Parts: sequence; C-alpha cells; structure tokens
Amino acid sequence: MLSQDERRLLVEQAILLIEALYVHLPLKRAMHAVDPEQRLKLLRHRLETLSEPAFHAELIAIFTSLRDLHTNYVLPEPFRNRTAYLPFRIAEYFHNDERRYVVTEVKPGAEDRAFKTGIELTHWNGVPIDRAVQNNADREAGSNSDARHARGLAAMTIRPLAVSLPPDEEWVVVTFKHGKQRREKRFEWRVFQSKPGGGNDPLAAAGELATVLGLDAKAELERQARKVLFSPESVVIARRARQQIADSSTAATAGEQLDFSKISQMPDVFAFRTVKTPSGQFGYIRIFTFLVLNDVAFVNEFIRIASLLPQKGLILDVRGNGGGNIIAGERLLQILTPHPIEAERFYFLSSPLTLRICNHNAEFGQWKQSIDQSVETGTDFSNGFSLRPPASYNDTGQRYQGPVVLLTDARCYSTTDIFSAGFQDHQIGKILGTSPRTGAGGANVWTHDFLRQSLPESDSPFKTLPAQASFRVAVRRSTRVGPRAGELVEDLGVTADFVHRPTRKDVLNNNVDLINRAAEILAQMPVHSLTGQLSSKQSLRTLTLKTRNITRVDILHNGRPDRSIDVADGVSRVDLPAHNLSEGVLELRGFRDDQLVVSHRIALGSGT
Amino acid sequence: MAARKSVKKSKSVKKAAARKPAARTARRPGTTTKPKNSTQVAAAKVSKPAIAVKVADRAAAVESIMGESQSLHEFLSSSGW
Repeated sequence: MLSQDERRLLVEQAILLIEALYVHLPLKRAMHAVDPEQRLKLLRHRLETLSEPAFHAELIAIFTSLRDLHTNYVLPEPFRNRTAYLPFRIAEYFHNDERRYVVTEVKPGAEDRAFKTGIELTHWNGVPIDRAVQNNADREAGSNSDARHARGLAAMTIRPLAVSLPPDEEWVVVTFKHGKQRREKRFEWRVFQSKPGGGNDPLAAAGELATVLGLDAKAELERQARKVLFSPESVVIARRARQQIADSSTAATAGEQLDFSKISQMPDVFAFRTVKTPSGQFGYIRIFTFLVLNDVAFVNEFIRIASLLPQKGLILDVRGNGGGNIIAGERLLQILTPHPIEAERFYFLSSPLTLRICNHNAEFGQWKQSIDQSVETGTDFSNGFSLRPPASYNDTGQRYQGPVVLLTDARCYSTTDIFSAGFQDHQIGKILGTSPRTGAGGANVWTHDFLRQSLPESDSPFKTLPAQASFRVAVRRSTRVGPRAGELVEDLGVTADFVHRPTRKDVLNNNVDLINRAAEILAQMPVHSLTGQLSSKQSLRTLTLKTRNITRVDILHNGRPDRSIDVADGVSRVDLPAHNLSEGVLELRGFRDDQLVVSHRIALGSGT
Repeated sequence: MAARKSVKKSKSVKKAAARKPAARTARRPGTTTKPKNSTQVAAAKVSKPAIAVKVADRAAAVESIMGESQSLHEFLSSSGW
C-alpha cells in the first residue's frame, strides 16, 4: 500500500513530466481534446478521498487519455512484474468485410475436445464478441482507430499489470461454435510473475539503449508473455541459442546443436525461411522486436540470415513489432537500398527543464542552442537532429539487392513506425498492411529512472519513486524525411500501399494468403543485381563484375569517382591500377536508365 | 420371414466395386486437373516455419517456464487492490 505522501509524490512527478517534458502535449491537446495537467491537479486535490485502486485507476486513465503508447504510468510492486492472462489467444479475420474472431492458440494443458485452436467465438460474457472487443479498445491508448482495436483485441486475454488495469471480471464465459451447436466455457483470469522469455525487460532500459528507446512497452510485455504461455519451444530455443553462442566463444560444445542456417542466432528477434508461393520462391524474415542492446549485432545478424535466403525478393514482416532500439531500426534501412539513408529528425519540447537536461548531458548538446533561443523565437520545439551522426546510418551499405515488400499492421509502433516510414520515404519497396495504417508512435521515450540519471544533482526535480513505480514519457518527437519531410509519425502512422485484410487461413495457417499476396507484389518488381570481386595480376588488379538488369556501373574509391562503364547482363572485367587500391572501400553503383538501382561495396586491404 | 440368402460376390465383382470410385474421378485424356481456386494452391505450397526443438510435455514445460500462478481474485486480495 502507498502512503498519502507517496501518492502525492507520484502525482507531482507526473505533472512535472507532462508539463515540462512531454513533447506531444500540444498535439494531443489539439487532436484528442485532452487536458492531462488539469486532471492530474484534480487528482492531487482529491487524493485523500480515493482508495488505492481508484488512485491507480485514475492515474492510468489520465495517461491513457493521451492516446500515446509511449507515455505510461508504471504501477508499483506487486503489479509491476505481474501479467494477468486467460489460457488462450484470439485473432480476428475478415469474411465478406465482417470481422470474425477465432482462437489461434490455447495454453498447453488447457485445451479440450471442444475448445481448441480454430473455434470461432461469438460472445464474451454474453456480449457479442465484436462489441466486447470494441469496448476493450475504447479503454486502450492507441492513437488511431485501427491501433486501438488491435490493442483492445490483445488485451482481451493478456494484461501486463505494470501498465494496464486488472480486468474487472474474475472470470469470463465465452460462447463458441462447435459444429452446428453453440457451447459455453468459463475461464478464470490468472496471474503470473512476468519474466522476459529470452528478451530484454522493456521497462528497465539502461545504458545507451535508455536514450534511444522507441517502444510500446505494453506490446513487448504481451509478446513476451505469449511466448511463455503458448510457445515453450521458442523459450527453449532462445536459451539454447544463447548458450550455444556463449559455448562457441569458449570452444565448449556439448549436446545437440541448433542449426543456425535455419534458426537465427537471435531467435527472440528474428525468424526466417524460404516461402514457395504460386508467384515463385522468396525469402521471408520476421522481425519480432527491435528491442536489442547492440544495433551492430542486430544488423549483422540480419545480413547473415538475408544471405541464406533467395535473392530475388524478400518479404519483411514487422507485424506486431512494438519497436525497441531506434538506431537498430534506422541503421537496418541501408541494408535494403543503394540510396543513402537520411535518418528522421528528433525534437525536444522547448522548456527550462529540457534545456537543463541538454546543458548537463553532452550527447544532447546539439539541441541546446535552439531550446535556449526559444525564449526569443517563441517556438514550442527545438530544432530537429538525427539521434546519431548521419554517417552512422550509411556505414555498411546495401547488402540485400532483391526487391522487398514490408508487411505491417496496426500494432507496429514507434521504432517499427520509424523503420516503416524510412522504408517508404526512401522508396525501398512496397508496404502491404493488414490494416491501412501503422500504430502511429513517433518519438523517443525515456524512463523516469533515466531522467533521474540525467540530472543526478541534489536539486534535481526528479525524485526517487516508491515501490519501483515509474513513468515513461515521450521526450523527443520525430518527423519524416524525403518526400514527406516534416510530417509527423505520431498519430498519423505510415499508410500502407496495399491492404490485405487477414483471412481465416492467414490466422490459422501461417499467413498463407498474406504471403501469397506479398509474393504477387514482389513478382512484379524488377530484380537488379551487382557483385564484384578483385583479383591481382602484377601491377594491375582486375575487377570482375557480375551484373543483371543494369546498364552502367560507376566505380568509386573511398567516395571519389574512379570511372564509369557500360555493362550488359553477365560478366564484365575492368583493370584497375593496384597502387590505388591498398585500403578503404571500393563502391560499385549500378544504374538502369540513369536511375541508381543497386550498389555493392568491397572492403580493401589485405587479401582483397 | 425367410432368411435372406447370402450371395457370395465373385472376385471380379469385388475388383470392379473397388475400381468404381477411381473410375469416377479419372482424368479424361488431354485434360489437366486444376484446383478450384488459387488459395488451394497456396495452402499446399507455403511451407511452415521450421521448429527445431520439440518439447515432449508442453503443458509441463509451460508451467515450469512461467512458475507459479494464482487466480486474479487471490492476487488482488493479497495486494490491497
């Protein structure tokens, strides 16, 4: 139980965050007609009249009213590490534009002859299922109707109590079709202690990750809980992969080994396979999360698994991905395009508190001047800058040359929104959505813990919170680049080029119709390829080029133009003076109709 | 009522009966068998994700991974909700 003083402290810290740091406050006031500051002040005024549940419920409701999955009240212990669940999962599909709800997973041991994967639900506690989901959606924080609906559906059976209200009902009675009959079954809500099933704790980002986080923590907690409840194999694989990699670094190997040509070395992050479709054979990579500590390892593993797949087209699936490390998402873009990547710009709210944080922390120094000037300029926001220097988003270059289709849905959030926006803004490929827009989270989120670290001095306005309670707040908003430069991601999301509403086969049979639709789109996209290899002969080095569907290759040495040659499909050879090629990078740029369509880099040095 | 006389079918009659369903679906010369729609093709061809690890007792594995659980009522009662 929290004391009155502890509750007061929580509310006062919330007021501080919302008034002086929350970067979307002007937008949310306009778009959703909300007044969180006044609600918080009323809560502070009425503290003594509220029970503890009513206090938590009101604080959660105030944050939910912002319709921002970044900005949360994290409940104290014992709620912080608990998840309430029902022993099954439901998904929706469309039949003649009508939403239907089907059980897609049942917790092992909870299934019976009638209640099993594939049954259709008709009612939830006597309420028609579609209305019950919509009622749930109205209590969720998604920033557009599709996002709220998706969040409402997920919350029907899983509630991370760190950031959600517990269910009102202690059990539910579901009505479902069983052959031509309707049956009912009662399920009790149960609670277990959440443990990351091989992933990172989304509520406790530390170190460098804490400054570059773009994550819907609730979605990540739900994803991790689903793994524990429904997929013990995934948890076992994640553990064994970690062990196997640790053993390989110490030369210790024992027992059956995972085959990393079929399983990612980061199985909690990636899954991949070749899909055979009526339109041909393509690669498929699922990115479950961007929540990784090391963006370099993340990008390298993507390159490794992409190289194991067909090179004539890739289906990249980020549905359900709640985001994570923004740098990982933005650095991945370069792997898929020959064009240089321009990272999104991030902006602070202009306030005395953001200025103090920027003054105190060198890494935010470039934002300082514009915030300081806002006293005179009257602007609400700082100038915008990328989170890292521009070169760091282009340090590797294109490594997958085939066309790419990106699969999105309304649960894509934050880093995944930013990645999808970058994918579209750099015209990397087409986006096929199972909903018209992504979840629309465009910001960098900081935890209250990180804020305390950012201003550690004794007169810091950030105080230690009771019982591991916390807050998360969007502190830097992002804007898009390229043809949509300046457009917000928050509340708008990324609009898909094509929409495919999920079918029953999709939700019960590995997204078969969705993948076939993606393959149809891929089959219509051109495939270009360009590779080069250097060999030495006396004072010359011969560059052997293999090209397909390009007409010209420009050769650059350490960024400087060397020569341009016309090519036809097949093999071409170019002699280059060896003394020029001792170190650096040789970059090959392939053109078709004077358009850059593919690139390839060769690292120079010993052995090349 | 007189007992029905059982008629023992000859081997050739049995063979003809066994062949009958097959004969009904036999393809005419010069034609190809086509599925009714493209999704039938799709369902047959899209491969399932590889599961590299089999867990013998999945229910026990889940309980072991998640640890103890309690009813929502018990949890909320004990946490002062």
